[in-house]
Amino acid sequence: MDVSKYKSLYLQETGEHISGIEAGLLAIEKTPGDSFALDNLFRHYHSIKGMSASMGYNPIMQLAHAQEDLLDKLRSGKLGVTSAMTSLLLKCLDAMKALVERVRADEPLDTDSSSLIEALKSCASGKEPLAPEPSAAPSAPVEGGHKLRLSSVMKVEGSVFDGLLASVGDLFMALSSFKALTHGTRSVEFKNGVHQIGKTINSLHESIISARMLPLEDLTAGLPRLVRDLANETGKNVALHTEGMDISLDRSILEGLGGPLVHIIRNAVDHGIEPTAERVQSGKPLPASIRIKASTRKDRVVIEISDDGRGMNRQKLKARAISSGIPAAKIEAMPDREVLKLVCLPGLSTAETVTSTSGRGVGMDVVKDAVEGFGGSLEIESTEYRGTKIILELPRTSSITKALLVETGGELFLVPISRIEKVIEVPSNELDAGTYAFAGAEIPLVELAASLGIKTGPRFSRTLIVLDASGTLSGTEGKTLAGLVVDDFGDEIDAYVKPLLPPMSRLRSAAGITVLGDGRPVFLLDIPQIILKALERA
Amino acid sequence: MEGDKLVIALGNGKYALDTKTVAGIIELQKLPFLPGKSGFVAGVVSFRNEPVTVIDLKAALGEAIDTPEAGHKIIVLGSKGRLLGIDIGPSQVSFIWNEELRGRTTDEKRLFTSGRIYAADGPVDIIDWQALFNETARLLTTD
Repeated sequence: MDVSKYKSLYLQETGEHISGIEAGLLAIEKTPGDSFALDNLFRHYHSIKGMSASMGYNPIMQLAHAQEDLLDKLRSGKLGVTSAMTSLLLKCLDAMKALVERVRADEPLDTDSSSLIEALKSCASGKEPLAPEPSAAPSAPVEGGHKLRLSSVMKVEGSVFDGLLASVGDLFMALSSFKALTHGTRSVEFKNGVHQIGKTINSLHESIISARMLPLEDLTAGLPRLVRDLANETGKNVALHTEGMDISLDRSILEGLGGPLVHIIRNAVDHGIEPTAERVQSGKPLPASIRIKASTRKDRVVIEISDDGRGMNRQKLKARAISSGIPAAKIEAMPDREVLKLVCLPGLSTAETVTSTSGRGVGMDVVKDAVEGFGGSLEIESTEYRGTKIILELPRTSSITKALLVETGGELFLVPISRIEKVIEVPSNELDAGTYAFAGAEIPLVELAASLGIKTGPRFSRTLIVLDASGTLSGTEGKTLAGLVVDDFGDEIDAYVKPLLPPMSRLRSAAGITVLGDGRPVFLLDIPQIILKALERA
Repeated sequence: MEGDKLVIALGNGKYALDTKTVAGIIELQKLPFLPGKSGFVAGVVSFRNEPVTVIDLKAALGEAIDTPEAGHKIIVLGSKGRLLGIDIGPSQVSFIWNEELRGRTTDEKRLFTSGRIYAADGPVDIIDWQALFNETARLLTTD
């Protein structure tokens, strides 16, 4: 495993433990029986030992281990603290500091700490500590322990970055006002100034975004334990496989993904995966498999959580939906992908049994709401006896979105650039058929005005926005295209998109809202929802 | 029901809002479109860079709707992070001060009102804007 990416975290954490040890040793020198200080010291040594072992820094691990052994004797009262003992421990601490400095400088940890370790062992066996041989001390300057040094890594509350991002959002909105003013001025200086400010704000935004990005593995590291515990609870034999966990997402999105992910996995173990005997009888492999696979699609991440269990029973799902009050005719007319998504209706579950964690029909609705709340989408694929796949598509970052301004019926909207394949001016009569020939295929067309209930007048030509509708249309693999028909299009902008708050938080055609430089509020269109609804109506 | 009131003369009735909840007043010629709007929901505006859902007060309170009026006067109400814009069209506003309220209020309720003031020049219904906010959220739930 490549641990180099954790080095800065190791240095930061170790630095904190070393400071704790230094304070602790001085405390026990003053008050030898201070059990609180001894307990803390033991924990600090233990942490350094564990982290160093994980990182492969064996000399540090061995030195920490020998000190931990001595501390254990002191903690348990088998030995009493003496001044010579604390001096030895401080000397060892200096040696440990010097080794940590070598880690920081990417230098080999080839110094010999054996005499210090021997002295510690001797001391732990009850002998009065002897001064270690000078030659055995680490070659790096031990007096480095007296240097005052600040860590290059800073611990910052996540809320600080939230505030910074919000401030950058305000700067983007202010910039948008200045950009609007540049259209009405001939001043080259003013235009250059606005351009420079724009570049600086962009760079600031990128820095903040990159500081907020965390790999998926930070979130999924706890899942093997969850799967193990759930499997033990249910008596099932399940293995978890992950792929693409190095893909990074904005901290706020990652944070919000935790609950949904746990719920999906609990559902899979509780209800998707068959009991071991049933799997053996039907010739299915053991252990059963739950797979989390992440990949990127433009600036979005696609997370697939699949199991090789029994799959979803469509007939049962339909029956439950009908008994919950949905008209049978409506259910029967639903396309397959919509039938599967019935499981996301509040209170609807096909599980025969209710466990402590799933089967009450509470959860998938919350999962869907959470994913859509981030401007993402949820799809379900399931084959009976072969398993279920839940596909989450999410933006990788929040707030600033590159978007194209479009106009229809005099109203302005934003279309995310990440969805746009091409923008074409087309004579209106070529769009009458409801499809358009593009890249060798007939793509379905969605009239935005009709979709949102906006009145428009006749026009000689219209703007066709060819969109990536992947993950939206049923029964399709890979890239799927659809066309959005609008009256006209305008600038591409960096929009500070705010989430929709009550009372409009449950609007389905919009994924967010921004305020333009002239004060006009403009909605960011929820492209998958608009295409889906329009095509279902058709 | 205590506190200064902003009074709106609307159609045949008069309606009051607690001045403490009034965050500002915006005048616009055209309301930006709000996708999925229905019922008395009229559109959206921005107020201090925050988007605000706007409702048509006449339609919400069932006052007679006459010919479309030019321009929109929107009272922005805010409390505990909630914002709602109330479009009163060209209606005039006035005030009733707290000391004028003494002994003149009752808890008579009607649709979206929470009480009534028997003012010197006739009754004034107190708008329950939180109820309007909740109904707006229901109208905009497009599941």
